[in-house]
Amino acid sequence: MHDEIAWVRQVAQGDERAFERLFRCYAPRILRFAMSYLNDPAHAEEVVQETMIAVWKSAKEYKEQSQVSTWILGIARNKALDCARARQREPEFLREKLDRRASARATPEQIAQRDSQAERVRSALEKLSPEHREVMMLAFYNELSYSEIAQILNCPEGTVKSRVYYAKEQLKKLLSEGGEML
Amino acid sequence: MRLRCSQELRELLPWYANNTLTEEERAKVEAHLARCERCQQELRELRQIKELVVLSVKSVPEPSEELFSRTVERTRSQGRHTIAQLSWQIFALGFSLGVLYERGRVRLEPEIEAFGWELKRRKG
Repeated sequence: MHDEIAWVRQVAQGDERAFERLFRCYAPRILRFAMSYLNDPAHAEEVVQETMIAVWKSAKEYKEQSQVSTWILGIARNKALDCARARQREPEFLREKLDRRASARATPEQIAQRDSQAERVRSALEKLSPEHREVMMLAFYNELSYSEIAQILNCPEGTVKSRVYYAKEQLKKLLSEGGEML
Repeated sequence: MRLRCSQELRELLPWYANNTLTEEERAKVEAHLARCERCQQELRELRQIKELVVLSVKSVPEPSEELFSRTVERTRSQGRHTIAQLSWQIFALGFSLGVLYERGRVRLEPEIEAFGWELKRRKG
């Protein structure tokens, strides 16, 4: 187990080696986390960069009562939401161009995954409320515990549990209608 | 067997499916699952939903080395920028205060000024 708190303390003192350790430890996780909000590798990489720069700048403000992971993922969530909002403001032609750029970099495995079933599941997830969609992605895609999600969303654990419970019921109904679930 | 499941237990099932429960919670859920068909079915559904949710997101590439270099470069330039900006701001503030004092636009605290006069008077 790494001493992540010590790394953050060192980063707060401007230690670049500690920053590198933190980056290498968290970048894959932030990238995956950002993908669950944006589903676009190019934008998700931007979120990793913005998050880690914010970590570098605000390491002194880190309160050691919370876990380093939930502190960093909390920052990543804000960056991902900013990025999603900015994408909505982008002109359509620019959005297409960025999507094409992401597709051009995709491996055959990545392309194979984008089959029609994935598209139908995405469309079912889109029909959930933003709060329900978010907890479903955090619980089932990012595999976070209810207490971690509660810290990231800054809400009670009971709220997280009941949101997942109701979101699952709704998603099950939508997926059953589309023939995705037995 | 059909059991009456508590809301608390049913709300723990998604977290059993994503393997994030504490040992104690896990044991409680497993003890219940062994006897409850309804919750076993619920768990099967949750696992299926989990697979579909994972499938809905494009596969994630490994963060590139270039991403790391780009990020470090930006933190360095921002660090330098901040120190340079701070030095310039301190210099500008000191300079402005000096000019204003010279022109009599800024007065020192009366006590300090009185102390200055007193020193001058004593020196004669």
